[in-house]
Amino acid sequence: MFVNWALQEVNLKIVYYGPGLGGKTTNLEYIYHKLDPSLRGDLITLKTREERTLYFDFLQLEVGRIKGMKPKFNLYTIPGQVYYAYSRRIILRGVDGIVFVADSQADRMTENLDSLMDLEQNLIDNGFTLQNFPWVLQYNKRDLPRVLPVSELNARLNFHGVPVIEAVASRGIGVLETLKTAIHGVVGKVQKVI
Amino acid sequence: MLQLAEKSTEQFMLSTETFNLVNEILRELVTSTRSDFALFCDSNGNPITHHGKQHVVNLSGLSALAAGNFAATSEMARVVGEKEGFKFIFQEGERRNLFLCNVGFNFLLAVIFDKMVALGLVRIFANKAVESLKQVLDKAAKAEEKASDFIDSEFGLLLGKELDKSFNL
Repeated sequence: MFVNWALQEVNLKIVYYGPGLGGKTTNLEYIYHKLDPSLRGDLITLKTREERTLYFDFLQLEVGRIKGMKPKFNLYTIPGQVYYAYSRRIILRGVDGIVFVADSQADRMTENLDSLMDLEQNLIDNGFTLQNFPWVLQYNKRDLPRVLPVSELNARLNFHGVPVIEAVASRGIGVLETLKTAIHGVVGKVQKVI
Repeated sequence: MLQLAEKSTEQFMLSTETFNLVNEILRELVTSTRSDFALFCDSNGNPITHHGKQHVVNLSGLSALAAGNFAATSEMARVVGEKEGFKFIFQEGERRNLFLCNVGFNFLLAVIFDKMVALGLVRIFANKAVESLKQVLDKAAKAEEKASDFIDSEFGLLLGKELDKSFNL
């Protein structure tokens, strides 16, 4: 969190984490296209030629002033592929909240778990754990065949009982609800800290 | 006491007084070098303040990219055995150049200048600005204002309403 008193701004950083091809960039693209341009900046994407996220995607959102302060939300995605480990560590610096975008398909569970373990390790390196950090789980791609039931996804991934949102990010289903839930988690955590 | 430019923490509060001093340093830097623009941001990618022709850039975008670029460059320095990191990043364009350097551990300074302005000049004045910025940040007392003045349960409630309005939920 960065509070700039002179400009009366409070900046919060939310990172979309999860395995490659899980739908993190799709979440940001939907938010970008759905929101009024006066409420958001440009969507910056650093992609490979194969349209995969190379470094990060970035989108800034603003909402109206609250109690005199202007909240700004800086949304980042991480590159999901295993070999971009260092990029993920960099992007997590100063993070206030996390959306973990899990792929609901049965054959993607190993990738979900690997990415979640990678997230936990990176949080530990920053002095946090999944237990004491505000994060939410998005079960994406609920429209595809061979998805696991939510109860099984919960049993495998949600061992801390964090909020869960079912989503089809390509159609915008659950995307804004996920973001709103994550923002509430961050604000709740800030309230506890101060 | 840990100093603002160096301490590692997830929360920063910048007072109005410090902000004004930083602004003055940026103004001097831009004037002395006849640069187009100077941006001061944190190493997490949050823009803090700037001076110059604002229309030149998207502030939040430049800050996010500067932070990412500097972090990647620092890692490149480590990979090639440069323990203290590289001192600055310089990008040469057809019309404009970009100079980027760190201010302590937590902040970055970016200068955008016309190709007619000598890099050496920008480098000298940017180094001077970095020293001044470090002094200002090190002296910065904890901001008088507190986050608890505004982030309370009412803030959370009002934020929820604003988000509903923005998202048309």
